[in-house]
Amino acid sequence: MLRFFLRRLLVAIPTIILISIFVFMLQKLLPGDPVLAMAGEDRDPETLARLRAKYRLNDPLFVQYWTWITGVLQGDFGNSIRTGEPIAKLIGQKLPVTLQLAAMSMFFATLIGIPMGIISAVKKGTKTDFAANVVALSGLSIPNFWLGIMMILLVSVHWQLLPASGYVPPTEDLGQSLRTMLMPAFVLGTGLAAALMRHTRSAMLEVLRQDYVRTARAKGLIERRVVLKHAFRNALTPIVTLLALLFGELVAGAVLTEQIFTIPGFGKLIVDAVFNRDYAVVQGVVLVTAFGFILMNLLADMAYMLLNPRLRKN
Amino acid sequence: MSHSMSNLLSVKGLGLSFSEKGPDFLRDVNFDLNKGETLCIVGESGCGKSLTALSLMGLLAPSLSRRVKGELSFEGQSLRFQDQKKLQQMRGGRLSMIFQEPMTSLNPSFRIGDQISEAWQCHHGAGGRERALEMLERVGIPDAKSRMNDYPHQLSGGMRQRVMIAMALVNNPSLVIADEPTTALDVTVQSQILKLMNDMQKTLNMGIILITHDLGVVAQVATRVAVMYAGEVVEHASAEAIFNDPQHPYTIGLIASVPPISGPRERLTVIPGRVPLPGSLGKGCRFAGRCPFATEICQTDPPVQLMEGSHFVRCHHAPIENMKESAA
Ligand SMILES: Nc1ncnc2c1ncn2[C@@H]1O[C@H](COP(=O)(O)OP(=O)(O)O)[C@@H](O)[C@H]1O
Ligand code: SF4
Ligand SMILES: [Mg+2]
Repeated sequence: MLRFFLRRLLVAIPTIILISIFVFMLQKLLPGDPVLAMAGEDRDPETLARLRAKYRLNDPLFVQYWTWITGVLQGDFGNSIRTGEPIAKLIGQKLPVTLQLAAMSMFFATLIGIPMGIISAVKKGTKTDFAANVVALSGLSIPNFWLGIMMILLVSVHWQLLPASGYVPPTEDLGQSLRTMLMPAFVLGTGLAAALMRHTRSAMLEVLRQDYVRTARAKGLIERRVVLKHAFRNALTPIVTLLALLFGELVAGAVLTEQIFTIPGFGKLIVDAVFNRDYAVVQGVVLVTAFGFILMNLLADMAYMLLNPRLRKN
Repeated sequence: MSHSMSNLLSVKGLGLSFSEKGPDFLRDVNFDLNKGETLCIVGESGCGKSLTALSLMGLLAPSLSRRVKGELSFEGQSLRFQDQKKLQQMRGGRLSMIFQEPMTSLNPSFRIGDQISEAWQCHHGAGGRERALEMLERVGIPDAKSRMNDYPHQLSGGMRQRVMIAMALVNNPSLVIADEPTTALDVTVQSQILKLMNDMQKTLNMGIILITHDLGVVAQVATRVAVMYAGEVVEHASAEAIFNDPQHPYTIGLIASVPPISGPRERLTVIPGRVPLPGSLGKGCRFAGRCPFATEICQTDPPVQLMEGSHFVRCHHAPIENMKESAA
């Protein structure tokens, strides 16, 4: 298992290098001069030249890349061109916020999506199945921003039950932290729940018609155990794979959700950096996200191995 | 036949239609079995053997099980086929089943020891692992102790079928239904499995319903035989009577189509024509389209099951002497 993991990690290295080059080049090709943005009103050529020299923008590209990437490897992503803060520190501050949002969304999505998928597969063709599918389709087609705004209007403004925006770190006040994050996580979770529900349903339908499910019934097991143990255990592989693939959707969704609920997270960091042409920050953020993707895919592959006895032995 | 002749199972009037208003495909299926004996259900593929077995086990899809008709009595207790609750309680305990496909009938995600032990535990509670090991040894799995931890994919087809047998017999059932248990296996393994079942039957004194389309197998193991055709039992008698004094034209055709013992055994396709599909059953005798003795009445009226002693035949022209007359 460990060997498999290390080998996969090794394979991932060229991918990460490619991504880092791509990210680095992209910002060089994009319109807009960061130095102009920094200098503001002051367009004095001397100031511009000084800034260029300070950020080593006159070096050949590969030298610039090398400087950047060796820094990254030592945990130094450079400084924000705009605020001068170390990017590693910014990421360190914002990432946990988004991770909390993502984790809570996934929690909602799993809590709603998987049981709903199982029930609608077991009750295939009934009204329950139909209702579950309607709910799932709505979950998929209602845009997050609309749902978010509606929930703010209803829950925060009208009922005044939950805060409409902001963020409280769980280390400071766990209860308040969860309360603040509840609505954003729910909004972000609905779309994922719907995808998960549909996926669970089809995986379960596939598994429920297998011979071994009939064998489980033939043993005299009660139906609940047949479904939850013998069938679900085998449906788990595609479900877990999907969970990892949903990570991309989660990041994209988080960017939007953090805007709606003004959460100072990773998504907001990306948006602000892009708007401010703070390319050093964009580079760092994209690289970390890409790394996250690769990690999730690696975890999915490992889960796949762990869940399949056939693969586990060798 | 040295065992007591007391009745273990009797099935009466089993019927099943595939749709709400559709005609019964399984129609008036009747058969009996005594303790410790083997009933073979024979017939071409598609004639309803598996449906009959699954009805008995209460394992039909819910949409079908709602429409099963008929009654059964099992170990002196009588119940209706629709009583799914009771069937579920008996299932895997007093009444168990072995399936045709050993490759797909075991759960690929669980160790075989756990799968057998679970069958014991859901009827008896603790002690499943010891019992599972004991069963694996009894069905002749070499090195059973370490095999307990194997997953199904690590075993050959024959070994998997042994595991299925261990699982089906773990609770000492009084009746085992085996639905073509050897069809998917190669010939040498086939006879090993049949021998194993035969041995287990002797030690446990259990009744077996063996579903097969291999009359050679029937000749070896059957005490009684039920011949099925297009959803009906057309003839039901002792094995001896079926082979020496067959009464139904279909049975006669089946026996005539069996190659000599030494030759290769093929599927039963020698009778010209094909089994009618569930959707295209006429109102007369279901065998009329292929029957050399068919007359007017065979096209219009369904024959009822006639009895002579414990020999049942579903034919207008039985016994056979009448047929020869009418054919002449
Ligand atoms: N749910 C169903 N709806 C319609 N036809 C079915 C259904 N289940 C089985 N059948 C049909 O019933 C017939 C008997 O099937 P089966 O009992 O499996 O035959 P056997 O085991 O004798 O080969 C087949 O022709 C099959 O197509
Ligand atoms: S009832 Fe008629 S058609 Fe049917 S088996 Fe008898 S003789 Fe043949
Ligand atoms: Mg069959």
